[in-house]
Amino acid sequence: MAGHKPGMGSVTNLDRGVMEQNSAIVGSTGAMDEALFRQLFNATYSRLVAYARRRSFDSAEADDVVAEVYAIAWRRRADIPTDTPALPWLYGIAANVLRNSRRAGTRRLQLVERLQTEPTATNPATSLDPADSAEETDRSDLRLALERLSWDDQEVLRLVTWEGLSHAEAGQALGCSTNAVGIRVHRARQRLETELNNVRNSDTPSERHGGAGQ
Amino acid sequence: MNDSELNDSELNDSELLRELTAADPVDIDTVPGPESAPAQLLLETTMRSDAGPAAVTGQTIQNDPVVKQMKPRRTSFMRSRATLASAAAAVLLLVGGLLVFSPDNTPSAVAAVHSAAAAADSDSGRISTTFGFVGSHDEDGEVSNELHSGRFDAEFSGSDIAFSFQADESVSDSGFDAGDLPISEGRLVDDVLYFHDGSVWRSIDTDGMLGSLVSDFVDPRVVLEKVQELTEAVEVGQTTIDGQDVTHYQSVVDLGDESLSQSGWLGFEAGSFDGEGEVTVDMYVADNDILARLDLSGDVQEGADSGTFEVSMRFTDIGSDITVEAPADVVELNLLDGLLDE
Repeated sequence: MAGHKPGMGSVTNLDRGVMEQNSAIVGSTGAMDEALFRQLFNATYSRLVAYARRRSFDSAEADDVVAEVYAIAWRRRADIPTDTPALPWLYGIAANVLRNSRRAGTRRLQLVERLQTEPTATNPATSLDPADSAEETDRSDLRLALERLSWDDQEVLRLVTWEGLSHAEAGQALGCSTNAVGIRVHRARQRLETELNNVRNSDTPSERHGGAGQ
Repeated sequence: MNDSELNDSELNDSELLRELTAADPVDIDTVPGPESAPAQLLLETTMRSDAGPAAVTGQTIQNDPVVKQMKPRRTSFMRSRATLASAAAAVLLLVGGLLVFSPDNTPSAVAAVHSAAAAADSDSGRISTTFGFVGSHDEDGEVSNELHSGRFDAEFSGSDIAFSFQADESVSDSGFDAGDLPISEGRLVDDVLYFHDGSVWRSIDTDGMLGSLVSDFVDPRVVLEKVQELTEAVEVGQTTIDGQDVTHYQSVVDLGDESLSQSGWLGFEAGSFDGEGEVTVDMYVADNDILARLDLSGDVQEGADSGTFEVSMRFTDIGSDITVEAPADVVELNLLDGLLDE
C-alpha cells in the first residue's frame, strides 16, 4: 500500500517537484537561516495557500492560516525536517491551526461551508451546457459528501487527492505510518461513498445540506 | 483489514478518489505566487517577527508575584444565573484571551510552550482548575464587592466531556452567588448536555449553534489553543510539581497594549474591553514535553470595575483511556420552556 497514489495526475508531479526542491534546500545545510527560509517559503507558498483555501470559508481566513503557519515554521525553523520533504510538515502545522480555529467556531464554519456549496445566484452550480451542469452537480455532491465526514476522514482524503501526497507524505503530515494512511484512506473512502449515496438520494436542497435548522 | 483485502480495495478506491481529485475546489493556477506583493510582505514580516535565538539573553523576567489587591470585573455574565457556564469557565475564556498577547519574547521558550500545549491538547485527559478572584464594581457611585473561589474539574474523551464545578467561597454585594449556579456537575456526550441540578440529571440536546457555545464553555482545552497562539515567553528555570520535574516558562502580559482593545478576545465582554492591568502567565512543562500546569494571576481594571484573579490548571492523564458516558435516569429539558421562564 505504501506509495499508492490514486488519481493524482499533474498535481502529484507539481507537489513532487516542490517537495524535492524543499528537501534539497533544507538538506543542503541542515540549518534554516533567513536565506534558506526564504527559499522554503518561495517553494511552498502557492501550495500552502491552495491547501488553506480548500479548507477555509473565505480567502481572508486562508490568508490568516498561511500567515500563522509560516510564523510557527519560522519560530520552529530548527525543527524543519531535513531528511524528508518540508511541505507535509507545513501541512501538519496548518491542520493544527485550522483545527484550533474551528474548535471555537465549528458550527458557524459548517454553516458557511454549506452556504458555499449551496448553488446560489452568485455561485451557480450549473452552466448553460447540460453536460457541464451534470458534471458540476456530481462534483458538488462529492464535495458535500466529503464535508459530511469527520475532520480526520476529510483530511486524509484531501491530502491524497487535492494535495496530491503519497501515503508516506500524508503520513508525515498526519503523524502516522504509511500503512495507517492506507487503512484510513480505505475506510474514509467507504464512508465517503455512503455519504455520496445519501446526498444523491436526497430530493430537496435542505435535505442535501443536512436539513433546516442545523 | 488484511493485505489481500487492502489490495482489493485499492482498485475500488481509485475511481472515487480520482473523481474527488477532479472536484478540487481550488484551481492552482489562480493561486498567487510567492513573488506576489502580499506574499513578499508576509515573508518579510514573518522573518522580522523575532530577533532569533540571540534575543533569549537579556530578557527581564518578572518573577515577583503580581500584587493581588484586586477585584475582578463584575460582568453581566457572572450575574446571570441562567447561563450554563460556571464562573470558572468564564475565567478560562478570559485567560484564553490574555494569552494571545505577551511582551516578552524568547523563540525557544515559545516553541517549547507551543509544543507542550499542543501535546496537552489531546483527545483525552483530565484538567483540574482552581480559581479565585475578588473585585469591585462602581455603578453610579454605588460600589459592590465580590469574592469568588472554587474549582472546576473536567475529564474529556474526544468531544465528550464530564465536568464538575464547586464554589468554595462566594460573597457578593450584588446578590450573585457562585454557589447558586444551576450546575454543579455536567457531561457533554454526543452533543447532548447532561447536568445535575442537585436532585436529578437533566438533558438538553445542544445540536446546532448552542452546541459550540456549550462546548466552548465547558471544554478547558480552549485555553490550550490560546497557549499555542502565545507569541512570547521566557524560560525561568527548573522546579518540581507533585514530585515531577518540570521546566518553568513565563510570560507577562501588559493589558495596556492598545491592540487588546481591538482584540475582541477579552472574555465575556468580547470586543468591548478598554481597560488596563497586568497578568503573569506561568507554564510548567514536564519532561515528557506535555504541559503539566498553567497558572495565571493578574490585575484588571476597566473603568469603574477592578479585580484580581488567580487561576491554576493542572493537566493529568493526557492521552489516557478515558470514557465519558451519559448518566442514567435523565429528565429531558425543553430548552424553550427554560427560555420562557426567563
